[in-house]
Amino acid sequence: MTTHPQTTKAQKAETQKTVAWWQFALIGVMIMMFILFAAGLGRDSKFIPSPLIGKPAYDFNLKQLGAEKQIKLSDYKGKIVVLNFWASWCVTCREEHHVLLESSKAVQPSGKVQFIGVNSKDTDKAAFGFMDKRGHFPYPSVIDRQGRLALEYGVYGMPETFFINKNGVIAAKHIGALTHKILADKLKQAEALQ
Amino acid sequence: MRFLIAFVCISLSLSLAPASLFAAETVKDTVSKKEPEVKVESELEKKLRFVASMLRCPVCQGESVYDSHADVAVEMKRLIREKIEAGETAEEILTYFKDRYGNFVLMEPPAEGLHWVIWVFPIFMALLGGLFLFQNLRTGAKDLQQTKLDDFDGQETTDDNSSEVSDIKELRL
Amino acid sequence: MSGSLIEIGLGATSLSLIIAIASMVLAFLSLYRGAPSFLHSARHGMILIAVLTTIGCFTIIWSFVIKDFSVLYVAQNSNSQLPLLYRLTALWGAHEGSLMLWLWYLATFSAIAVYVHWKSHPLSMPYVIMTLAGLQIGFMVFILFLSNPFIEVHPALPDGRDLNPLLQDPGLAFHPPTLYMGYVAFSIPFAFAIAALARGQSGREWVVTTRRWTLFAWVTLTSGILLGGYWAYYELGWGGYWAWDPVENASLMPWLTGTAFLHSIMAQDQRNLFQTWNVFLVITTFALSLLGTFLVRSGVLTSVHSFAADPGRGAYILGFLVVVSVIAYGLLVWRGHRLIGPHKVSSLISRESALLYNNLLFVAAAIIVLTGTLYPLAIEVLTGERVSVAAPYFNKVMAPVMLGIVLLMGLGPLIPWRKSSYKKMQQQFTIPFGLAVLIAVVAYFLGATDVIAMIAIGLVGFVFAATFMDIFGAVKAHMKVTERSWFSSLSILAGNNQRRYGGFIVHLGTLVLIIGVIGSAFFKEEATVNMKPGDQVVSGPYTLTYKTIVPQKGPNYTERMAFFEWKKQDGTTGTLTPSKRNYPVTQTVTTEASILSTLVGDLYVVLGNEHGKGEVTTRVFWNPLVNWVWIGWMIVLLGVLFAMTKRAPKIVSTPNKKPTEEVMA
Repeated sequence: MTTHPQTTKAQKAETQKTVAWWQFALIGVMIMMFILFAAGLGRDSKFIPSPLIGKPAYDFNLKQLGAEKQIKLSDYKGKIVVLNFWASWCVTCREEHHVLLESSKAVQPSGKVQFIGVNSKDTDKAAFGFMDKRGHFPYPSVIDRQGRLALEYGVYGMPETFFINKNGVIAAKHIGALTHKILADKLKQAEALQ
Repeated sequence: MRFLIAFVCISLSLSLAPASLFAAETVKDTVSKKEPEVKVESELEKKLRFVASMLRCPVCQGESVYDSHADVAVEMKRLIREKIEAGETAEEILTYFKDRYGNFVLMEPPAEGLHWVIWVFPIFMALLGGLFLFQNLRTGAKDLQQTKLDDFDGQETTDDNSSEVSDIKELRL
Repeated sequence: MSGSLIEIGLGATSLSLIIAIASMVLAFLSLYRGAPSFLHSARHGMILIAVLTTIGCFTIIWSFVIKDFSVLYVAQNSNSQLPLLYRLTALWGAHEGSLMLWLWYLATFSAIAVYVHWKSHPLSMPYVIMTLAGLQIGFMVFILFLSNPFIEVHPALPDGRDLNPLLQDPGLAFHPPTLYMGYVAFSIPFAFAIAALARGQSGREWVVTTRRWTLFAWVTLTSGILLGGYWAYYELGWGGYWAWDPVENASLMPWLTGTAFLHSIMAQDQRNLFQTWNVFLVITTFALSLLGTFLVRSGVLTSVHSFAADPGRGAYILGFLVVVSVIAYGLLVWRGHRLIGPHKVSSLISRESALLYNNLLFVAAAIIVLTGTLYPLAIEVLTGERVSVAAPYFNKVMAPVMLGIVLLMGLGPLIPWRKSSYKKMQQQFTIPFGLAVLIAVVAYFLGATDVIAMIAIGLVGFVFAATFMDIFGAVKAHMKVTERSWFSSLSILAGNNQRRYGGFIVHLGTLVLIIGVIGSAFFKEEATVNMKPGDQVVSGPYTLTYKTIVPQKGPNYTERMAFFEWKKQDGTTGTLTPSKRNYPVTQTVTTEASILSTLVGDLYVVLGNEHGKGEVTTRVFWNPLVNWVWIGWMIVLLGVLFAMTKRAPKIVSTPNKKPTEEVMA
């Protein structure tokens, strides 16, 4: 300091001022980043919103699994359709299997709701092996051998479930294993949507 | 104003687009026709690469559809191939996937809505940095005018010769 | 017997937590009670912790060696068929072991730093020990309570799951520990930065010490990043080495700010400038290392090599990051101005200002990477929309910044301190600049039609020319004065200026690396074709003939291996054998690329799907100059070694000198 007498008070004050300027910037950026991370931690990183919600569901016409019959989505207009993509090789599908069995048995008899499975990228043999072991669905599944229907519905990975209202509009979607609660919630959403 | 920003963004992104993307399309058409068994990448495959490189593999989440070996990506490539054969343009195919998977499936945010932020941000940063520099150097140059240059002529040393070892001795005195 | 071994590891780690707390308290008390014995005890504590954590790590490694599947971590990450090498490297195969490795590095570096700098930093030592012990406590609590690798299962499992097949590769086996070493080594400069802020002074030794440790951390981080690139290139089979994956970005950010620091510290060393800024860079570099860990481990970002996400762990790391940042940046905001010296950069063209431009570009690059990486998260939190920011964005935005950095690489080291003039600049740089334009034009006519590629090639030529002209001039002058041969002149010059010439070597290595990047990014050829046996494909200077595909068996996998014959125009031939591997235990398939690697470029073959009768989809790449990337890295290593051979200057005590204001304050 002694070698530089020109370091006046005014100059000191100026360095102080610039310091204050970046101090605020630094603190602001820090706080914003921490809020961002905290908010980021709280969310489900698997959840990806589908642009298909609120849009008419793609009307497929595919062969039924284990039957010489075509299934057309628009045949079920007037009912809420629960469209569940599954495959025998999908590990998470095993987790939700009992939920699908139980709730479809409970809800379908009312005639308001129809479950449809989509057996995607699978073989008939493996699919039946899966159901023989874990229980057959009390509703039909269609065969989506190549996974084209999955692409059409923007499916990221099995299992995914779409809830289509009685006018054929996609009301909600769930990625991952279903639980009874999620299923009930989404059904309500499908009912509410006109 | 918005148009201006959009214009800047578009011209920037066009001028900076990686050559590899376009270079790939002009690669090696010069294979001699004398050897009939020589395989050349088909036009279809080139278009496929162009489109599939702009799509993000939905399950692997870092790779493009073209680079990925995942099941979904393989099926997506097959579908893209069929769509190219059916005469669809790259834009139509990208829109097809965007409409079903959302913007997530694109390798970079689309130039719509709020997303101009991420393109303008680097320019903003550059301006801010330049401003900081200008400010800093201007005051620095003023200081210099007030100081005699020969004050610190010659060797490069610092004024701060303070050392912890000597400091601690002084403090103890 | 084996059960008790892992218990010893757990015991040692638990004990080290208690000692770390004690050391921190003792170091703190030594500040106020002035009792040197307290600080001595704290020092012993730091060394004891290093020993104890070594024992902790060793017990885990030994459990892997003897295949002790009663240890949960061993059972989850190894298998009785796994070769010994990968059983050893399985320590960092998953979350728990990786953190143990982190802790071990931290404890070891802390002990070394406290031991080595004990005499030269008597006033900083309490703060250094407090900071390091605090960081250790943070990691120990995490390991012992949230991610414990010492957990046992009784009865022992018959056999383990397998190590992630992607990690069963020499490249990736050594990528994480090198990367972690780089991250952790930044904690030492960080501790000294905290000490500087707490004391309100960063003196001569501060510069020497932080520079050495940062250089070490920087070179390990560089090696870690490049090992990762090397692994990606060989193992992932998409023909590239850098994908702008969030995990890669997380390692790039501290590298960028660390590089900025290594440059700007020169200005503090030579001209007593940028003191606060340097402390800021050190803190930011370490904070970004922690941020990288948070991003990778918490699952906030999804990525190719994202690890099993656990929100509890994520919350802990975030909390830790917040505490570290609040303390460090808080100190900076509160006391940073005390470090500011009387000087300012005085000229637009001077070494100082060149360093300033350099720092702006590196920090801008770090901010761009940070923004691009966090943007999807921010958008999701704000609007709920999910978007991706991937390679296309980063390539476009980073290219101009990188070009600016290359330009400065040629200019900066040759501009004198304090002040240069346009006239002098003209003398120095006219010839290199002319050469650069010439090279760019030649490159254009040779097929480099892309603007960025052209500029980049010209700039590389510019830096080479400018640097060699400078060295040549210095050698010539030295030869004239001393009448020695050019070789002995050069060695004397380099020997007397190890740091400057070490820096030149590092720059040279970086240039070689950049040449590799330019070659492989702009001049890559790629073709995907369906091939039947006998079919040929042309790639670069090679003709590739597909022969056959056969099944094979490895130690813990089965594979389908294809045989290709390559032939060059000059008649040389050879075989390439890409394959697809199936690991039955984890049910994963990996593609193994087969590469003919030469200095001119790599012929790179990957298999796609088979279509029966031996027909297979094949992806063939011609990647020019890729090897230059790895060669450049080797040269960088050499340069750093050369620069580091310079002994730290002995601090001579100057009894007549008055203590500076800062110490008194």
